[in-house]
Amino acid sequence: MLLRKEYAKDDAGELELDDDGNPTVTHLTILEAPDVGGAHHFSPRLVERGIADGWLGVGGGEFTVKTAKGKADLVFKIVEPPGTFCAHCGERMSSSPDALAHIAAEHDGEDSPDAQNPSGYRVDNYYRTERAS
Amino acid sequence: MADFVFNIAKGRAAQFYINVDTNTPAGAELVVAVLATSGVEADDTLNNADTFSALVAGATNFVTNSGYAQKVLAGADLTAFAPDDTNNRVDLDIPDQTWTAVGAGDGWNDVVTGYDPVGSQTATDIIPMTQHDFVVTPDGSDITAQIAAAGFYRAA
Repeated sequence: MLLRKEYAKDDAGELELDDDGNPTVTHLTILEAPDVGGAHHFSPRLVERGIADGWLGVGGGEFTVKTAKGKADLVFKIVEPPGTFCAHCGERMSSSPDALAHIAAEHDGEDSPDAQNPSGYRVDNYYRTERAS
Repeated sequence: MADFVFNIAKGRAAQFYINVDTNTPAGAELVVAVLATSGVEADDTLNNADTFSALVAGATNFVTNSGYAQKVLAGADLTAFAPDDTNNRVDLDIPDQTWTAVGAGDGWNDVVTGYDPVGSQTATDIIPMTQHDFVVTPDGSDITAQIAAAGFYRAA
């Protein structure tokens, strides 16, 4: 997803600054985004920054990327929040030790199907989402 | 007035990142790998490498611990921002990266990001982008590379 931050400006075209002297983001221009149904991963850091900047809304299990007035916002349905998952069956684990115990009990001797996670489980540090509209 | 680089032209790494984000060329990926402490060469040697293959052509090596594999990031993992013309910079960010149940063995020294234009994950194809100090002694637990608040790279 390729985005451009748009900043608040006064009638004279000068940037409006917040109390800390920083320019204020009003919305985003979407330069490139997944098609409806396409996947996107939002890191918690990006979500926090988007909320703080005001261009991202969270609610109802969705992220809403705010675009210019008169244009449709982008809505992403949260499919899975960050966490630990078995690479064999996809089951969510409460912790890494639990994941190791689960693999020993359910997938003993099986090679990991995930080449990036030879241990057989993975930690996703992002919200797995799907564009809804 | 002073000499300067236009925001739109800042950072070849930024262009690599946007290539992956927009899947142009198709299959382009970012790669995250780890260098071992043993044998690692000086920064002024490493920064001459043009490929991942060249990066480990001398005494430097990638780690080989059990549980380790290089990470691959595709467009869905990235959220790129066009050059920030207000703050005159380009910030690039990726999600934190976690390697799970990494066994003892090689000490970890640096995280390296690279650009794989063809998605082959072959060292001769991957262009090194950035290197970050990351000293860890694996002991069987998970290892997470936490990316800075501003991202892993800023062209300013």
